[in-house]
Amino acid sequence: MVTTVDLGALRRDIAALSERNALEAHAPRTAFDFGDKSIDAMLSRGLQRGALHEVFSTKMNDAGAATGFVIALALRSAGANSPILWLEEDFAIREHGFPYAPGLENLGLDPERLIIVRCASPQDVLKAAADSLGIRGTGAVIIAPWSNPKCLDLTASRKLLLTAQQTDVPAFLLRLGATPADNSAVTRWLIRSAPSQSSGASAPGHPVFDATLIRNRQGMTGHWILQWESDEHVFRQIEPVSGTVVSTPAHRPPQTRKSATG
Amino acid sequence: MVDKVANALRLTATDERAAKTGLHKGMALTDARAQFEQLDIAFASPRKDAALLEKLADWCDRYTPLVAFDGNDGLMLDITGCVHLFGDEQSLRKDIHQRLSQHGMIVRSAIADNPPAARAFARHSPGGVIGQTERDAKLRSLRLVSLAIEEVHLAGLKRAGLRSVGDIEVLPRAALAARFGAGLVDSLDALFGSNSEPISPRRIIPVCMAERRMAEPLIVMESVELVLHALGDELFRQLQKRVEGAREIEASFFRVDGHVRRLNIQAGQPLTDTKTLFRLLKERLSNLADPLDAGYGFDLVRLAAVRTERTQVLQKSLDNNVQETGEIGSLIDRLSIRLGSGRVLRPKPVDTHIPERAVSLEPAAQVSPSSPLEWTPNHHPGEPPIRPIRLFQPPEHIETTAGIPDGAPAQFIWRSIRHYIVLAEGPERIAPEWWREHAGALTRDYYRLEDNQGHRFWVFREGLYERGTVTPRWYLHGLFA
Repeated sequence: MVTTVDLGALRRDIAALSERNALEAHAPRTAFDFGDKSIDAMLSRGLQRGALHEVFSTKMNDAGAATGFVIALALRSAGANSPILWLEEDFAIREHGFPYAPGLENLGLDPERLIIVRCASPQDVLKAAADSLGIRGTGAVIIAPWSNPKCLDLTASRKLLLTAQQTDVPAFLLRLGATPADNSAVTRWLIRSAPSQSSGASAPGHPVFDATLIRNRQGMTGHWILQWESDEHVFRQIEPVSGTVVSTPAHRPPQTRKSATG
Repeated sequence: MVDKVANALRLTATDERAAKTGLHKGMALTDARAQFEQLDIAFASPRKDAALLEKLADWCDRYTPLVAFDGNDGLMLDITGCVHLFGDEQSLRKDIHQRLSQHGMIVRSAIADNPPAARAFARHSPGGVIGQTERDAKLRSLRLVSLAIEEVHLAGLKRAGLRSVGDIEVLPRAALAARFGAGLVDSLDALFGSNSEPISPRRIIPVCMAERRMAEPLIVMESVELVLHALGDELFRQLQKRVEGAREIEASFFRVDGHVRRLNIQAGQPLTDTKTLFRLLKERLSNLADPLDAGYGFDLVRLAAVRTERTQVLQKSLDNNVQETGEIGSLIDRLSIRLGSGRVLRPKPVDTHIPERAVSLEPAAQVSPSSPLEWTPNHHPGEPPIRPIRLFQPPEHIETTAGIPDGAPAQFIWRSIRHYIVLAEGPERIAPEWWREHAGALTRDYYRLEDNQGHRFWVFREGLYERGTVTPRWYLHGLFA
């Protein structure tokens, strides 16, 4: 008698089981929210603090928006005055400019909390990330390798996630110029710039993000236009400015979006 | 050895056989050739000599941390307090001679109770250990060359019929100084003096150190680690007594073949235990460009605390805050050692209006976490950001089309994508710092722009329209969120 065993399927089952165990084992996890009623109501449990969250911008011009969104999430999730580590690959800096402290201060991040680590390779970024996440005193870790490095695979992202869960330190993968691929991140956001509400005299206003939650392991996905209030450190959902068209993400059917926003 | 000195090829060094035949340093090569046709010559290489001396000095660190160069062909070792490790002065000197002759060197050395005397004995006598009681008598028998004085005075003294140091030591000082300069008297006093003139060591003298000499050289890395562990414990015990921690530790590995390898470990906060030191050391070892090679083995391993700092006795606070700060500090240290301290940075404000200079990124390991950096908010509450979050350095050139000649651009092309501007604010005029820039620096007019897709940019025009430059150029300097 011959029995065939689908090893792949078995492995997947085991992985799913252990994942569930892992998630339930440390049940009382802390979470963070956005500070805006409508979006917080949607993500009823908020976002898990000690976890890996991924923020994408696929277009070069949206690098500023994605960076700003990550800063905002870091500020929402990190404890007051705790240090924020920013690990960035040299190539990302060459391509998108370097994090500029006075601008970060404008967004509400006290530059004194910032520790910038410049890495020559994506491997260095990931190694430094693992070390930084392993320390409870860290407020948040922003991990910014450039594009789609080979070393950032399922195993590597899973390691980061587990470390973040153990220490309850939020980890944000800032993916500039990258294409979304499967990994262990708990949420995955696609960020684009959105027209701001002019602060008068045709001057550009507060940062506005076109944020699409394209993956959420713990709940719903959705699409929002969010404005960041630098002084209060809160997001505020706003109606798209009339006259501009907010396009539907190409990879997501419109009805999902409707169910999320509705 | 020959080299070009004063426009002629001259002998700069001779070997023993040549010296016996009367050839001497400073002689012109043609004169020497006239005496000996079959002269073997080699061109001198002061650079290689210096490198060799450097290596030798490194090697001599095994005897004392106080090693100084003596001219360009000698070394001065201050062995005060180091002798007991070898028994007595005789055996210390024997050890030096024995080890160096194994490397094929001929050594002349002397041990005396002040540096000038030791120098004179080593260079102008058979050398040896000269005790305090016999020193003066021996000094008097030295030839006049032993005095560090100018050539003309030396010739003058010889002409006066004076041959040895003893001959002039008895003469009245005032007369000597009047006739041959104060240098002679100074040099005499230095020779006979009892207060030792300080030597200037090549390396920083460690605050405290621990070392171990091995009878059998260590080849296996595991045993080297064991020794380091023991040394670390010893070093930190010493530091603990002083209520200090180490900010900089140097680990030296002396190889049997004379090669010395040093590893420097810097820490942002004082190190107080072996475990943390080892974490840093491992980090350092794992990314050495050329790994630590035991070769034929290390026969001396040393840990020295080069820079120390008073440790604060930390009280464990209820909210674990202190402990967490400590953890961040050790993380910064680890990353700084792995990636280089120039890669782990903290932004520091600089008082200037020029955007790219307004921040200086300082190595985080060197900034004490307790010192606040005085960031002053640069915009009014409630107002949108006025500075970008990503800055391009250098700024990137853009092609613009402006509605009015000296206004904000109506559209621009950056990285071959055209942006149509819907919102614009500016100009914010930033003048060059004339006291710093070269003469050609131009005033910049900055604009905050938003295109019809919602992208926000920070651009500037370099040069004022119809003033300063003929055609102002536009640059993109940063991206807003």
